[in-house]
Amino acid sequence: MSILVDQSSRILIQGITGGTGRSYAKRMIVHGTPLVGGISPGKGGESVEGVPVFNTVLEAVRRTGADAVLSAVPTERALDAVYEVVEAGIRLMVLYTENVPLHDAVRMRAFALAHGMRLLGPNSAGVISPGKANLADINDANVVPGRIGIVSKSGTLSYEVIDNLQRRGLGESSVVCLGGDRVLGTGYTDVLPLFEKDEETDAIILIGEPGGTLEYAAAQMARTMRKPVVAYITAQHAPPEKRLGHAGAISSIAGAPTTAKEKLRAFRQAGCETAALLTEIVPALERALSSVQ
Amino acid sequence: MIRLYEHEGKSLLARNGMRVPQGALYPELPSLQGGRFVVKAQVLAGGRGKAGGIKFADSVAAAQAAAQDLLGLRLGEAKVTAVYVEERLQIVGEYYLCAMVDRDLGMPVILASREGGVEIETVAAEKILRRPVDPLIGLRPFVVDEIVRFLDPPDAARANLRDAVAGLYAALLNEDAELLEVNPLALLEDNSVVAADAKCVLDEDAAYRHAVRPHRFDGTSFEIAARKLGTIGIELEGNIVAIMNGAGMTMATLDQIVALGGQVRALVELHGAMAHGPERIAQIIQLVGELQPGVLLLNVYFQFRPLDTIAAGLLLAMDRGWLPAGCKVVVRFRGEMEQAARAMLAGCDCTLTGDFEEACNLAVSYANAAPSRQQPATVST
Repeated sequence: MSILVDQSSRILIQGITGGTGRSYAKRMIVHGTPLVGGISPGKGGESVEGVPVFNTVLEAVRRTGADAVLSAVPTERALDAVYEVVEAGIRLMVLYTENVPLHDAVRMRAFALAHGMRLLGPNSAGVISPGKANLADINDANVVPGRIGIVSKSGTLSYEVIDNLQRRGLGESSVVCLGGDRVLGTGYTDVLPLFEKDEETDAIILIGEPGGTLEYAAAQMARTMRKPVVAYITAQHAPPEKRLGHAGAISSIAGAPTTAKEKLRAFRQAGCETAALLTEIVPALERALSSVQ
Repeated sequence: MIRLYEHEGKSLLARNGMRVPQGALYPELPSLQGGRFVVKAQVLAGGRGKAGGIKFADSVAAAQAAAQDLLGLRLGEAKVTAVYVEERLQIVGEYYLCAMVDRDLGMPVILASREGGVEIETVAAEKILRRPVDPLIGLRPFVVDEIVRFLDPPDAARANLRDAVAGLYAALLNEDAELLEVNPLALLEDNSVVAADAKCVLDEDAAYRHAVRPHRFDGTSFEIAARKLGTIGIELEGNIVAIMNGAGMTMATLDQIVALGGQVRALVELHGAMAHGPERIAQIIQLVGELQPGVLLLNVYFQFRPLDTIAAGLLLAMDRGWLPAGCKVVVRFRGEMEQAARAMLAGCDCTLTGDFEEACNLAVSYANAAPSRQQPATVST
């Protein structure tokens, strides 16, 4: 099965005539992701990689029956882009765009939630169900289909975990990147139930980081899940008060204990296998899998 | 994250309809009847009052003398370079009021308390109202009412307090602020409500849509230089400098090195710098080279952008002698154009690997074998 996207998805790229959009389109066509079209205002009627370009999302949806969008628009256009996609009735959107203003993230999240659209991002590396559909900045050549689900804020850490799994002969059902910003359309607790229900997923690797409390809610949920959740929280050794790149990875102003160590402890207390280092994730997963069988 | 000085924050609040005391940046003084002044050092750190950064004066001459005393003073780590002089308020009550984006709720919240004028962390949770504001409806009158009822001001001050709450929320949106904290929000004898202090944090990502925006980065001179190169730099203590792509990878690399017993002098996350080509990569290497590291680790895994840009940048930097003599270079390349990028570095004095763990192991073993750079070098004549 996999989650969120598969071979029956009908995918659009918003911003398909830009550099990033074109690269994605090419990759999708080469690797068999069901790309059905793209949007680029003023360029309707053109085609990119053999798929039609439309002026508006609504027109694209009407003509192609699309249900998912990968958006790679410039920062200043991101809020409008999300509003337009939501209004067109799309089910799932990946917003790849970085450096989206915080209040725009707040507005797009609220509008997407109100209309029942699943928004990944802003600043999301996307979602891939290997061998089926790829709306991520993950190269299809580096992933194999399998039975592990990954949910992560970070794209690059997903790459590493995918590599490490592959060395042990393991692949993924789906990899979901939530994004590195402070306010996100989708959290861990939106994704975990999807993996729990998915018949092709045996276990979930959760990759978290300091700052915010999304991981605590996930730990709480993991407590009652049937499938094992293996948690890794990065920046165990981050100095306090230093910002390490992801806007999200700083202590929250409210003063709750949101350090990496505290979060990892919450997962341990929930009965999860945990990893404090990237290289410890796959061993922790193997412990979790062997205790299930 | 752009933090504002008090005087900048107050002018921001004022232009959104909040009342602030009359004030001027020294050497200017506010023109007051009566001449009772408060003289405030402009620093970003908290606890300014306790540290002696606020003085009172009852004449123009005394205000000028107090301002002169404060200029050049050190408060914590910050040196006082600006002094703000205000009218002294006749305060009869102090509230706490804050508008911020709550990352966990994913929406703005207003925090309010009757216990103003003290550090909010010391106030009991039940004495703080935490009211989320749904961005789809905005700050509606019934929500303002709820906040004002909680603060329970004298009847004659109610309308002024409503205006203060509305003004603060308007400022949060209009100015693309992450956080606006007014503590205390002062109630005066005449029932007016005035922001007696202002702590403002603005969203750097929204700077493009604001004409008036101080462009200032927090951090060490290295961290500021790194930001100017389009990267995110973190300065720590140690002898390994590491350059990564992606925030997650940056944090994970730090963890791995520390777990292996290594110490990190600095981290750089490439962020948007890749788009600027090899010359920019070379400049980044020059910048970390200036920290005199024993080891440079380049830990890069791209699945979208080509690695040869990094290889070309490293070659430029090495040709120009931008790394200190004896600095070991460990390169971990994985991803797009991996073979071509490795081939480019074939003749160069560096250790190549494709593996994260091996790269960190190498960096730490080189660093721990290298002579300490803290000792003064022997000068031969």
